[in-house]
Amino acid sequence: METVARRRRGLRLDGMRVAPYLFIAPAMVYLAVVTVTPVLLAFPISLSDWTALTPRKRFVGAENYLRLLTDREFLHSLLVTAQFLLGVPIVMAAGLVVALLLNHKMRGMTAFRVVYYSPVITSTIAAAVLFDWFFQPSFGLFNGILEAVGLPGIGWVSDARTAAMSVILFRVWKGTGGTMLIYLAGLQDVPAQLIEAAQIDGAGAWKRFRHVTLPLLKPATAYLLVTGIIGTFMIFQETYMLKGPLKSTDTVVNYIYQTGFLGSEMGYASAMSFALFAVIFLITLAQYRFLKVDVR
Amino acid sequence: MVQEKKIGRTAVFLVLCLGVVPVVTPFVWMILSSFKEVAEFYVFPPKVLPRKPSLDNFRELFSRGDFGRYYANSLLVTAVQVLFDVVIVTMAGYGFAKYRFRGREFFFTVVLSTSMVPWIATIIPLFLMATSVRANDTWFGLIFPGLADVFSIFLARNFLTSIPTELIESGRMDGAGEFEMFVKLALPLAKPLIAVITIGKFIGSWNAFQWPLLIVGRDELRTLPLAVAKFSSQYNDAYNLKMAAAALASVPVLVVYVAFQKYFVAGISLSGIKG
Amino acid sequence: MISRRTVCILACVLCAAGTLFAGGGAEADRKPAAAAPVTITYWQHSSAARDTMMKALAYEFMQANPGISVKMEFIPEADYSTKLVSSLATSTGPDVMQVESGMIKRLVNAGALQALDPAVLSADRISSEFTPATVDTLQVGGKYYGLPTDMQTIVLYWNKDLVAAEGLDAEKGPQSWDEFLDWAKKLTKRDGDKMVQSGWGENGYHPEVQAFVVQNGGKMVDKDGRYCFADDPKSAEAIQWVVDAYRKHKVFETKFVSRWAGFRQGKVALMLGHPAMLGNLKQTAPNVKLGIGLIPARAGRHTTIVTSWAYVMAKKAPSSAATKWVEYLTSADVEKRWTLSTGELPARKALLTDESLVKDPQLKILLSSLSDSSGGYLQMGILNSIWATGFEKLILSDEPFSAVLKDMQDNLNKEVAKDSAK
Repeated sequence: METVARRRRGLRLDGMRVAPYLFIAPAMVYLAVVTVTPVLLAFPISLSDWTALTPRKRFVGAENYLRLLTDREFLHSLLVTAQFLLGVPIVMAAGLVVALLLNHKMRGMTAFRVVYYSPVITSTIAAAVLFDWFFQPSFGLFNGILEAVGLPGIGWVSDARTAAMSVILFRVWKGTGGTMLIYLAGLQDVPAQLIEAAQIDGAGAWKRFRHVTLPLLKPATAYLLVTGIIGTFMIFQETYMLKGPLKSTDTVVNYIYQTGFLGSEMGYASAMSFALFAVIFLITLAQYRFLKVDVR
Repeated sequence: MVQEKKIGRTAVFLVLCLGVVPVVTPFVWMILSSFKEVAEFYVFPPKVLPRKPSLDNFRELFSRGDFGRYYANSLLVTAVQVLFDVVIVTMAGYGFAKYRFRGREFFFTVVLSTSMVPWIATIIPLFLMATSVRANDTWFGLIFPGLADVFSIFLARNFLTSIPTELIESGRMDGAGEFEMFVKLALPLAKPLIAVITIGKFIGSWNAFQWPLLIVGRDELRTLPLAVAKFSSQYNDAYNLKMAAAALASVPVLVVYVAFQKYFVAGISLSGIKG
Repeated sequence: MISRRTVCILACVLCAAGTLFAGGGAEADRKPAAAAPVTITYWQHSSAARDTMMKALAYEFMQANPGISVKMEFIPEADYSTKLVSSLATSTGPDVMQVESGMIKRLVNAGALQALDPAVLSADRISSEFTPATVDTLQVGGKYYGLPTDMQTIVLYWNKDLVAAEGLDAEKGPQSWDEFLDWAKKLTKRDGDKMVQSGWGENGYHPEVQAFVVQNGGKMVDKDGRYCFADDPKSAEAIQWVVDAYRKHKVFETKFVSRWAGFRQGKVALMLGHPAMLGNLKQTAPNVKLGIGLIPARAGRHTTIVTSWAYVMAKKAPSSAATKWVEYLTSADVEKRWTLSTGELPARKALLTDESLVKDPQLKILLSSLSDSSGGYLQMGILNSIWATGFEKLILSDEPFSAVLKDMQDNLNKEVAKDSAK
């Protein structure tokens, strides 16, 4: 009996040692093929002057990276992209509010949940057409509303000063459903007993929210913050469609795309991508250090 | 107490109603527009209702457009990718969450780092890789790069960390294998996680454009977003067809969403109003 | 709980996926060729009218040339450069494709193109049969690398009702620069400070400005192919005139309305545009009574600018077969059908006076714009982008005119320098 048990334990122990590697293996293989290998291929490209119009390349060393340091347009695009970071806390707060509201058992709740998720489902093209009208300075809906309440209309996307903000508005509208979803899932995690206990202790609604719910939503918040910030640095499609004047909405990825695909400087574009990666990496690291925010 | 409950619920209901119009208008407009003709899209301000609602756009999509095939292609690609994604991601999340093993931090840092790599950095090298193994213009080339979503791995790991380990350990006492414990004990508790992953990946795969654009050549492989893009040309933006296509395209997404959102069960309301 | 049934379904889907993967590679459907005809692959901008036409044309071509087989792919127009560049980078591109005419020099320099086969179509024939402005920009080092497609000039459109309301001649349209500017000012209306009608919806679209430069006797580019419009006084003068219309005479505001959207709604009176807009306007702005005319003249000559794409051949293309296909696509008969169905202009001289085309009075005007025309520069995505950004600065910011213009010139020259490197 004892020997068998020990042997079985031994086997299980082995199984336990190998198991985690097997669990993460599919994901690691996938990432190795789809991300790591291309990155390894991209690095030598960033050290070349490749035009991407033919397979021919020529090694130019660190030239591309040095050029980056004095490329004003690159720096400008970074600043433009950084502006869009404002949208992250906004879309998270909006998602949280909606998730709290939707987290009730009520008649028609499914309908509400569909409604509040519909911007995510609305095709970006349909949304862009409509928002293009919304943003029209002279005959658009938004200025129509502003003027109806006695406020002056603004230029929205046609004005370099307000273009970025308009894009943020679009992103918040489109993205709230996504953050709402994460918070809804996270709210299921909050054990009913804790809430009840707080209630019995006499805590009011706001106190219960702040001291019970919010801390338990920390993983969701951390996740949304980190991914939101990473996502901000990758903005491309919206600014491609809703383009503001004087490069007021041109993000880093827009610039990289223009350089590589339109300007036939794929080598330089590749170097820029690595620089962008470095920026994102440093910011995520900073988040971890200073805000103690982490996906762990 | 009962009174408070009622007021609370009414308040929630009212607030939700207020938000409905700004939130859902574009979606409703898209659906209604699929019944309009092209000229109606150039009217300012845009009208909500079609002048002479007709199914012409839909007819044209299927007859001239070969739409059925593109729809089926997208369904196939998306289904396969969602399935693989759920499996790969929950497994990885579980591995990171529930085990201590040598290299755990290292591998997780790798995962984190890959999430920060901009797609524009890897798309051309990936395309180079695909063409070098003759995978361009094939189903394999189309589907493989989209099999998992790296951000979901974080989500899975966080979520599975919060599942009490004791519940799973008990399985070990009963002699269950590791994978069995994962499938029979952990996953059933992770329904909201699976729901979120499924919905998110479905939308991501369904709307994927950049990679399919590069990899697809033949019409037989064309997915919906590529097909819809063909409706725009410089002097002839077929908005009517685009809306019709978008309307049809939103159906599976809606279905998946409605089906899976029920896993977010309202146990107790958390804004203090007992519901 | 994961039931047995779920596991079975899962397994089935995974198996199905597996077979797809396995079959995927082999599925690359190169047809089991009987005798081996020469196959050329061709990429086409997609649009409803073009797609249909192209399929018919390919069929007819293959009937007439039994040894050649044409495989076509339709690419969404907006994403064409992404797809083209990626395919050139990986050598998975087509044999024949369309590119912006301004791209030719860059592609030739990179070694990506081959010249048209002179045995099939000699340089002499090309220069004599095609309107010069349409083929001049398609040669490098004396050899022709492509033939024109998607040809456009700049013509003038106006809203007859708005014009007539000012007591101006709505049938004839403005003829000279001065008359044009005068009309634009008269047709601009404001309600207090707010613009409610724009006389001329301008934004410095490069072929329009280039036409004015040429008409003023200026040069965009010097004999070495470098941009010189900032240094050449006559060019700078013409560009200043265009900028003044916006800043000094205030005939348009970008914050007022989008140009074409505004024209369709009857809020913009005069627009310069491509002939292809005619078809679009007829469909999308049925309420606007359209006046069509030639671009205003500086000294009696309505010289306009030609912009186009070109059919070009990749290095790997089978030379003779590909040239035959390109020749076919630009043959007189095909061009005529193409013009009638898509509104794009023909490049062949003979067609400018062709009966079936000229009998439509609107088309007649559009065709006549080609008879006094000049090949345009800046016909490449990135150059257009540099120009547009620079012009935005000219009209929207307060930076001094000559500094911005010089900056534009320098940036453009930096870009074209890439085409003669190595």
